[in-house]
Amino acid sequence: MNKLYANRRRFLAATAAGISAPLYIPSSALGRDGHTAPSERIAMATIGTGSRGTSDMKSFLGFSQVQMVAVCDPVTAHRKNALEIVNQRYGSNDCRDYNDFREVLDRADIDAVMIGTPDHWHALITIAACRAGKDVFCEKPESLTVRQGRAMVDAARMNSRIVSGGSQRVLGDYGDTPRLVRGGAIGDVKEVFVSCGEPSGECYLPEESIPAGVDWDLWLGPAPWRPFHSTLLKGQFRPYRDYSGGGMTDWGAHRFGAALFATGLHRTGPVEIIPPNGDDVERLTYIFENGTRFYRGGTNNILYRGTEGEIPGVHPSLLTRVDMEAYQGTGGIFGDFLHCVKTRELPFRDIEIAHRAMTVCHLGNIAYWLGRPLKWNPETEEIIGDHQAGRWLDRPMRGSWALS
Amino acid sequence: MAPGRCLKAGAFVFIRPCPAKSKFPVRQTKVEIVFLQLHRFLVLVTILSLCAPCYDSFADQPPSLENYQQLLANFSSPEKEACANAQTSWQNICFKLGRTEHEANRVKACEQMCASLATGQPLESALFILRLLERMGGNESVATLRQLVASNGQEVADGALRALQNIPSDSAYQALVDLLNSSPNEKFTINVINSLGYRMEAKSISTLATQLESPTSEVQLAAANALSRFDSLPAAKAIFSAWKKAPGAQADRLVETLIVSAKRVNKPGERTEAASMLRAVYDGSSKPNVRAAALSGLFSNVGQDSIQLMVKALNCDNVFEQQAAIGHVRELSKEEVVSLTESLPDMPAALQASLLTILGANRVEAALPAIEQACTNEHSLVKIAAITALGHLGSANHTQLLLDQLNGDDDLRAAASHSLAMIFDDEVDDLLLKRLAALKEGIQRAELISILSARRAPALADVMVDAKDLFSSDAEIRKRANGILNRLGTTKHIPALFTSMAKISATEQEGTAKTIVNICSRIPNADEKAAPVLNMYKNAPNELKPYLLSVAGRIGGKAAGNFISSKLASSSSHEKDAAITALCNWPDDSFCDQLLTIAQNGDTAAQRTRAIRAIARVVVLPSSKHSLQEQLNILKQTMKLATQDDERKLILDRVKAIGLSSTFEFVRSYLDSPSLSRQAEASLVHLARIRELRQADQSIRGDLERVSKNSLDVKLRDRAKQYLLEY
Repeated sequence: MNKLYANRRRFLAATAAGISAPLYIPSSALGRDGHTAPSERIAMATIGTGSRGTSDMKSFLGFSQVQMVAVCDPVTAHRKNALEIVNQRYGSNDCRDYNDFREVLDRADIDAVMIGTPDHWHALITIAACRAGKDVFCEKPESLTVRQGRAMVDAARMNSRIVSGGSQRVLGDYGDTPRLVRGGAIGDVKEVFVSCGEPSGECYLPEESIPAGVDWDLWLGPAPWRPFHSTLLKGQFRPYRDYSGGGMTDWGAHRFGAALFATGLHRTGPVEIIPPNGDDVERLTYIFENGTRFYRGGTNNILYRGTEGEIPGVHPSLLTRVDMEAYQGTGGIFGDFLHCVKTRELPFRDIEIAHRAMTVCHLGNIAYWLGRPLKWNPETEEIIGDHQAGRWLDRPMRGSWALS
Repeated sequence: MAPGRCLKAGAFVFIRPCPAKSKFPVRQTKVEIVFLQLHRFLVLVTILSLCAPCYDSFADQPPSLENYQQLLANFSSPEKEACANAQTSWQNICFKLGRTEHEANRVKACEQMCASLATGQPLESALFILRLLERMGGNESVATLRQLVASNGQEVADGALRALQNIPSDSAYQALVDLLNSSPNEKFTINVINSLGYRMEAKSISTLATQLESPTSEVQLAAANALSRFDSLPAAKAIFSAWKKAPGAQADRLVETLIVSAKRVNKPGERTEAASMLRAVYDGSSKPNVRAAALSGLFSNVGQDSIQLMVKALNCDNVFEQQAAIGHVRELSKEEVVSLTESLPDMPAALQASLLTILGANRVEAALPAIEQACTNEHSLVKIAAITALGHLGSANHTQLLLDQLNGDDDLRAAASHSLAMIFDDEVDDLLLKRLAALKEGIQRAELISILSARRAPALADVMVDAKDLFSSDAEIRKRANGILNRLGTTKHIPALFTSMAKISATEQEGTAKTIVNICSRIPNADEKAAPVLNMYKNAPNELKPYLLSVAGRIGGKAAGNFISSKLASSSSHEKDAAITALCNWPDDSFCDQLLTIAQNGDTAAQRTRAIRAIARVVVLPSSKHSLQEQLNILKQTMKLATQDDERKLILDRVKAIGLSSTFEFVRSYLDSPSLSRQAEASLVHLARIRELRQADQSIRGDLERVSKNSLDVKLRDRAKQYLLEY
């Protein structure tokens, strides 16, 4: 038993006056691992219970060491649906539902939160959660802008929080490829072709009347005001710049993240980003300091081209193991997060790694939108020599919302 | 950008033959030849130096602003397409104007937009323009934006404030300060404070600091929040002062910003003072996470005392402080690590375990001696943590120690096993293999195999064959052996794998076949990938030959292709059937034509069906050598040959990978089929995700309307509706 964790349960039980502790969960509701003592459970909340948020919540519910105690969403139907799922899982009515995430973060009995909101909320809620002493699992795309991503990293470090990003595909989808590439099966990697969707753009959805049970102002949060449209609540906000980076960040989070990891570039960034121009530049191109080039496009999800072959394709085999990061604990990226909550190791998709991957996506979007190349300093995280482009590294927030 | 054109021009000059009439005599001396070449070289250099700076494939003339009024008229058009076109056109112009050389036009464009705003625009237009000014506005936009911030419309006011916030000029800053000073209400004040915080200009620190004096708690908090974004001792001091004066509840709210602010102070001469503020927070706060946040800032600032502070934190009751201390381990110097580990024996077992875990996970080499010592600790928690840590830091020298733990209890055995699998030292493989050789059976043998498999020790593959695990009477052992060979096997193991196929079930044979395919896929020469399999064919027993052919087909490659083709003409119906199966297994579309022939003329219905399914599988693969139109034609042909709905559905499903307008035509024709309509709808909607296709072919709109109204699948209806909205 991890006594560190046990101390916290006893301590919080003593100080959480006025907050009722969830009842004992019957062992029949727990996983095959069997009974997990209450002192070892990680009390979690899900903030953002749309389609993806609920799906992740269900994944966490499958871990016997998790106790889901709260769900939150500004759309009543979404959070009531999530509440029902949780209560059915545990055979109790102990989970509570909330409209406003700030009430969730005020609860001292919550150890960690899972953020499944649209992208424009990820930074604010992650930072607030860190400052409230919660560990965070944040779905991808982890950030909406470069500066927001860096603010998330700072908050995690300043508050000694475990913050994991949510790309389960880096290690999940690409089989043995990371090991082969990292291990040198194709020699030095010269080019990587990454397939992902388009950048986001403006939203031209017409106005609809706001139905009962939707807190539209809260859904918008820091994003610029626009009239309500139901499509945005159905997970279909991705094409629109105010809420997301489009396919570039949606699948880019996975595939650029995977490509960076496999090539060992996941702790740095490109130095030049060149959009296609219909002339001598056919594809969005990223150039790294070591000469490696990433391109957006191609017929494969990700294609690596090295001095000694290609993956996918015929390449020399690499049978031996490679020294590289992997998930800790069991249960994929979710289990990795839970393991790290207990041991305080940094998770596989630590927020710094997630931020680096998202930065590649964001820079690509900026280059596309502006139609011109960018020079980037991955250490200082500044665009060099283009002040106008530099204004895209962050977004002013609406009303009283602000990063800290 | 690539001076390609310049090089071409220069090369042309350089190698262009001399004109027929030259000022030089026909027979040139060597000196004259050299002179001529030098002349040409200088011309080339001149051309390049003139062309290089100005050839920029991204450069263009500044876009014209002439159409602004025309576009403006449609920014709020009720016709969504007109609105989108107008906004997109203008937006593209504006984004291009961000280049430095287009500054004059940028100013002009912004002036035009500001003039429009000043005369009043519909809400959608105004918000669109404000978003653009947010991105590209400058000094010329400030006056207009300032007026709009005070407008009655909340959305416009907010948009104008966001735009001002994002204009990096002194006049924008001054406008915000003026707005702050003339703020009509608390909410407005907070919004402007946030704007100043966003801008992070050092000159705003004093302005923000005065807002800390506000009697309104929310304003004070916003000011503190904004100030906390700066790496500034004056900012931290201002918040500190406000915190000390604030009543209890407000102090609790301010303290978080104080901690952030003090932690940001990074200049060497200022950190001591910042640390004293953190100390005051730490000593004065009762909230555990607040104390811990302050403490983590102190770790970096108290020099040699940081270890004492860490140890104190680790031993206290506050789990947040413990976590802060553990998080700081990553930042420790070698000397600090040694100092920390010297305190380990005095700590409670649980804490020792936590520290050992994090030291190992962070690969802190200086902690290795302490970890080694802890491996013999009498407390199991500590021992297990130390054993686990060896997985990150250990070497072959620790192998025996870890092997000895395999005799321990479950937790200890699991930790030792895990560490043995992780230690990144090839010598560990040799030591484990030696131990394995001495064991014939039993749990420990299985454990060692598992460890060696996790380590990807290549020699383990030999063991699986030599020690006959592959031929074991125990199915679990055979399965394990097959799995190991799948990952680690080489071509020399293929004969044994085939031999093993003779006495196992069909399910196991499939697993073995996959292993052989994987091994062969690692052969560098693509043409000869199947060679190890083909080499066995001649002398193989008859009952093995179909397997060999089938596997060869799955592997592919020129040699296999030639061999299989030769067997298609075999007089033995079994061999011919096996060859057809092999072709149907082929990994790409190289044999599409033959497959079509078989689909049409195959001897049996089963062969024809297999061929149809194979065509559907391969023709749309990313590696396909057929053009999209050819792929579509092949699938159309195949559809005509299909006799069962399962095959037709498969074809309709696969065709969705072909992004052509003509694919829609093909799929559309099945929307009325009772048995195929569902699949047709799914493929149609999948194809419709390609925006260029939707925009190029208006008839797709009708298809989407039909699906959005009639499909029984809710998700398909929703997706169709979404695409329709984008028209």
